[in-house]
Amino acid sequence: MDTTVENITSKKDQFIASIDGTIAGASTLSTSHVVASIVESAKESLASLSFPTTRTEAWKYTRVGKIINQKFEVKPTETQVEIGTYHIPGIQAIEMVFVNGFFRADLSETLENNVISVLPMSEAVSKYPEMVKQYYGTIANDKKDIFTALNTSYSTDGLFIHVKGEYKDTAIHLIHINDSDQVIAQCRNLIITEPNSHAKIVTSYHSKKDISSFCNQVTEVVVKENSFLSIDKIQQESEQAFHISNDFVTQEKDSTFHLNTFTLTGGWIRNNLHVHAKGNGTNTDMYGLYQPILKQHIDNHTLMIHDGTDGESNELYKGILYDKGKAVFNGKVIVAIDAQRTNAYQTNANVLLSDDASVNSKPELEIYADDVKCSHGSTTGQFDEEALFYLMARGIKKDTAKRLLTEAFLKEVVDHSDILAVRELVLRYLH
Amino acid sequence: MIKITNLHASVEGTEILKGINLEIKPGEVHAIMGPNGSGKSTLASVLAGREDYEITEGSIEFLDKDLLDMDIDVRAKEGLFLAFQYPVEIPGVSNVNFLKAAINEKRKYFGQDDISAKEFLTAVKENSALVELDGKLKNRSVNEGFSGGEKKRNDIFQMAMLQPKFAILDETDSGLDIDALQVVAKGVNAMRNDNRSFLIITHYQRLLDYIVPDFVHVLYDGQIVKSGTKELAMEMEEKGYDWIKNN
Ligand SMILES: Nc1ncnc2c1ncn2[C@@H]1O[C@H](COP(=O)(O)OP(=O)(O)O)[C@@H](O)[C@H]1O
Ligand SMILES: [Mg+2]
Repeated sequence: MDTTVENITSKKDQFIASIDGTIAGASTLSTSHVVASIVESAKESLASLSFPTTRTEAWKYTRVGKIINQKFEVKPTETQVEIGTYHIPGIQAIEMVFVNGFFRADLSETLENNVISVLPMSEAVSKYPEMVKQYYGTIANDKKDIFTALNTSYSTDGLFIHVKGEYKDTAIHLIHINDSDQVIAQCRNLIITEPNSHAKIVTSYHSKKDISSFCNQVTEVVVKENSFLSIDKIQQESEQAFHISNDFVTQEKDSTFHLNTFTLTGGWIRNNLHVHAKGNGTNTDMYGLYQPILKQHIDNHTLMIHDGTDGESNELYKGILYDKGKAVFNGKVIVAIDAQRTNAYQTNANVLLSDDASVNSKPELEIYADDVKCSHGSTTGQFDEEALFYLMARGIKKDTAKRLLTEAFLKEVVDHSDILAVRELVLRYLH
Repeated sequence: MIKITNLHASVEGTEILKGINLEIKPGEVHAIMGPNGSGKSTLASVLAGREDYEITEGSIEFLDKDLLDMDIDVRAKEGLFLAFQYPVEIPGVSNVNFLKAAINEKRKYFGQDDISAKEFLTAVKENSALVELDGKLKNRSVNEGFSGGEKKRNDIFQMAMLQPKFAILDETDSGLDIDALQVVAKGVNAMRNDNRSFLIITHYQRLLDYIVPDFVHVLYDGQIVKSGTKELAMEMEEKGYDWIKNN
């Protein structure tokens, strides 16, 4: 046997053994009998899949070595958490708090009425087993992605949202905090919007300073006919935090789905966003911003599949890179043969503010239908020195002038959030 | 107001300004004329503090302080203003928001409180009327999608908002039709007073029919080769720049 393969295999075994050993005996989402068969098959996938290397096309610019060389552990905690720190000022929202991947009822507010149900997955499996069985693990794909399989195999809890009517004035805010050193947190969320319903979700990810943590979350979303769902994802973890998001979305006829990814801070981040527009006349917006400093690494991989006719998707990711910051953008759009009259637009724009910062940006279009409008563009440049001089010549300090240009560049993305409090928060945390 | 002494400036090792001497007293309007490439914009840029130029010799005193020691924004706060030959478009930065930021930074610099919303709005209203700037334009991004004339008027509008002590207008007349030229001149003339000075840079004499200068200088190959009163501008117009070259 090839020695490097052996080496990786044993690393993988050790990595998984650490999780397996520390979760043993705990009653978690993954031990619920409702999802037993899904978990079993995910464990089979986990056994057969390998961790990606830079030879794996989708991971060419993002190394997972720094994660799998560590031993992460499952760590439930009842410690006091200063929850006020994570509250978004001015937001009208139900807050659901997870610490280290475990639900904290003491800090959360669940909600169940005829318009909406918001509860932890650990409760949803016993309250709505049929519904969970119907969707759980059917939208996410364990077979291809080892991190998704890892999540399904060992998920601890997550957020369950079932939207039945129009829930417009209040948002649901999932707050996720990693609070212990060497913790792996694996939340698994399920969101279903029934026909003609409406909801807004905010998710925010945090981790304590100076701890190494790994958040490996998976979210499955079903957006049914003519319903509206927006998700604002705010990533605000620390320098030593690793984060992998796998968000899988299915859209039915005439539905609208918006996902805005605001990566404000974090050490190493990989966001996978897969949207499958199955129905006709769907509308999808995927927006994102990132601003890596120091040696932060931020990778956004998106996949948009148009299977229905008359669909529209708009994608805009923008980043400003500082220091030795690194960003990866890969946006793939597939327009199936029957998906006539699809409009798919994609843009990635980057500003490099340091010679040591770098971007790898790659759009991929696969178009099989003939009557479509698709465009994509990718730009990487510097701030306009003329603009900077103009602002300073009017009496504005260099720092303020730069800040005005930063805001100007990213504002288009910030403004895409429907929630004023989120827009204000994001603006506040731009460098 | 400002005293330029033996100013030499170069860009990438090539000398462009070759010993400029110029003094402008409070309330005076000076015009600088000169052929393309003579260094007019370079002089304006050096005064405003653009970093591409290296000052190899000479000094500039502005209100009894060393101008060359000041950062770009400090020069503006101290009362220097440059209306650009080519005003840049800045998408996403709102015209009025940035002006408000500029005004407040200046006030802070002098230990004053922020401008009140009401005072600011009144000034915006008055000054945009003065230069006939379309109401919609002032709320848009700086110069984005503006016509050439609108950009120039926007610069004069900003000048009126910032109330500088010394304003440099770099070929503000270029690309303007006669109506727009008159509007710009009206804005400048409304601001003329005993304490405010202007340096009007132009290639043509035409603008000086509307903004009548106290003194006229001819810049040629990085030096002021001739100075006089407004009649010199007429003479230049008649005889052309070749007349200078051949003398
Ligand atoms: N940033 C620069 N880099 C290189 N050359 C420059 C630069 N600025 C000005 N120059 C040169 O200096 C000379 C004077 O230019 P400028 O000051 O723009 O003249 P004017 O405004 O009188 O037409 C020209 O030869 C021009 O090419
Ligand atoms: Mg010029």
